Amino acid sequence: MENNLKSLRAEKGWSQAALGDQLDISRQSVNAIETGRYDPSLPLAFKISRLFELSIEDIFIDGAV
Amino acid sequence: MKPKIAQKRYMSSIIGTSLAYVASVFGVSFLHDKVADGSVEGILLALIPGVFIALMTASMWRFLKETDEVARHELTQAMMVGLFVLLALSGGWGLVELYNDSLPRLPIFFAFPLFFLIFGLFSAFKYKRCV
Repeated sequence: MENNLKSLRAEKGWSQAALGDQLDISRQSVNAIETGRYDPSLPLAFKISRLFELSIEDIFIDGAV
Repeated sequence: MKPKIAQKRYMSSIIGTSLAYVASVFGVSFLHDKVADGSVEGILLALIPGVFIALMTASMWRFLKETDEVARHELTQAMMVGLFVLLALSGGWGLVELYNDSLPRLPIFFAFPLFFLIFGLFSAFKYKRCV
């Protein structure tokens, strides 16, 4: 699943480590989500959306038709 | 627990128990000739490395519970790869041994080191992709 996490993080001026600290996940985990190698669980997706004050759909792009 | 702390704790415990396992295997191999074959002492001595295997798996289990979901996913994947390769090799070679009496028997002792070798290589490959 694609996502806008990298650009949203850049807008805030946060490093991957700083975002990871706020989400209670490692920098490597942030990297895995940003590059689409791992799709977060629903609780983590909600945590991310709350942090950026956006809806899940604004961050994660569902490619399914 | 913070993933960084969980990772640090996991790495120190897995490295410590791995080194202890290797040392105990060498120690048991060295002392094996000094005790009678099939004696209680001999069996108890040979069981010592098993204690460190149990500690290693306990470290992995603790890390699975303490770390974040991405690391948990990666570790589980590496464990599955290690397990499946081991099952495929042992199942395949087991039949070769079963139908060919002239071939040497591969000791079951090698199952754990082989699992850890595949698990370690796959984990290192996955980690390299993450950094």
